[in-house]
Amino acid sequence: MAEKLPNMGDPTGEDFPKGPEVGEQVPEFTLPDQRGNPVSYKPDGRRKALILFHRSASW
Amino acid sequence: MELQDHLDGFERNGIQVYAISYDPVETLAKFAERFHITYPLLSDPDSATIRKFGILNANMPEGHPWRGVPYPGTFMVDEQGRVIERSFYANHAVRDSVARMLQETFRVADAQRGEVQTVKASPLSVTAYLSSGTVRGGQVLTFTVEVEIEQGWHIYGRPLPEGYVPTTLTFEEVEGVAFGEVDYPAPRPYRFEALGETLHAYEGRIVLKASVLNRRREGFVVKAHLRYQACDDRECLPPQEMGVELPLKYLDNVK
Repeated sequence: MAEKLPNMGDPTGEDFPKGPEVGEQVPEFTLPDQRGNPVSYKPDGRRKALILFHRSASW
Repeated sequence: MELQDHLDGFERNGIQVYAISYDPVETLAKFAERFHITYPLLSDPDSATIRKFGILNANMPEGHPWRGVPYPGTFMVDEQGRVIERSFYANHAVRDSVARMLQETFRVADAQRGEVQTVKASPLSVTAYLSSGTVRGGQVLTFTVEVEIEQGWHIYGRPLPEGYVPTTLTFEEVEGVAFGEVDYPAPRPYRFEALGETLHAYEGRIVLKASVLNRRREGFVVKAHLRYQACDDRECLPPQEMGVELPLKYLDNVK
């Protein structure tokens, strides 16, 4: 049965997440990784980045 | 996991990967070991970074164990730290395919692709492929068709008057699969002096894309049809329809 694809770029209502929009700067951060080592994100002018947020690792 | 499968594609192209969740380090350690994850899984249990990114899911009630979770979202960021693209889905089970992100947003030329199929019927030559040859449940892939039109010929785009056949890409229905709207390039106005009309047309090489969302737990075949009418400056050939079939293998989410 045909199913409409969720509207991918569009807000899902007033509870749509805010946060950096296209063209805006993302915040820098330092967080521990799975080994407890601190990992930092800071743009270095050389590398792009992919930053993903998960609900939970126990998906 | 899918990201792990494509990780070397990101790393080879100098794209740093950060996966942030609300879980504590111990949970992430178990998860990483179980699924052989080598990229950083970052722990944000007090949601500080989640908040800095402004994506805390405020729908969770006070006291609920998921109170600090983020909306599941992806930010693709350039070398200066600016957002190139971001995507959020209402349903956390649906995520952008990483192959699609590599191909579309980061424009990585060597991204893995599924089988490529080419069909020729002069004056057109059509090449179609998916962003991956494998698919998981809840994954979105990109279907791409590249159309090469011989010099001197053109096909039509919208809007068009009655009687003309616009170039149209359609998909055969597959149970459990949703096809997104087709992204057609902008046609150019084409003046036909003999008819005293200006029509919208495509010449040379054009690329059409559409998203494919999979909710099945088994493989399937994407069957697409391209309908068009090719004309040169003297005559029009009868409308044609070309078909392509691209298979997808299903990958379990736990592999």
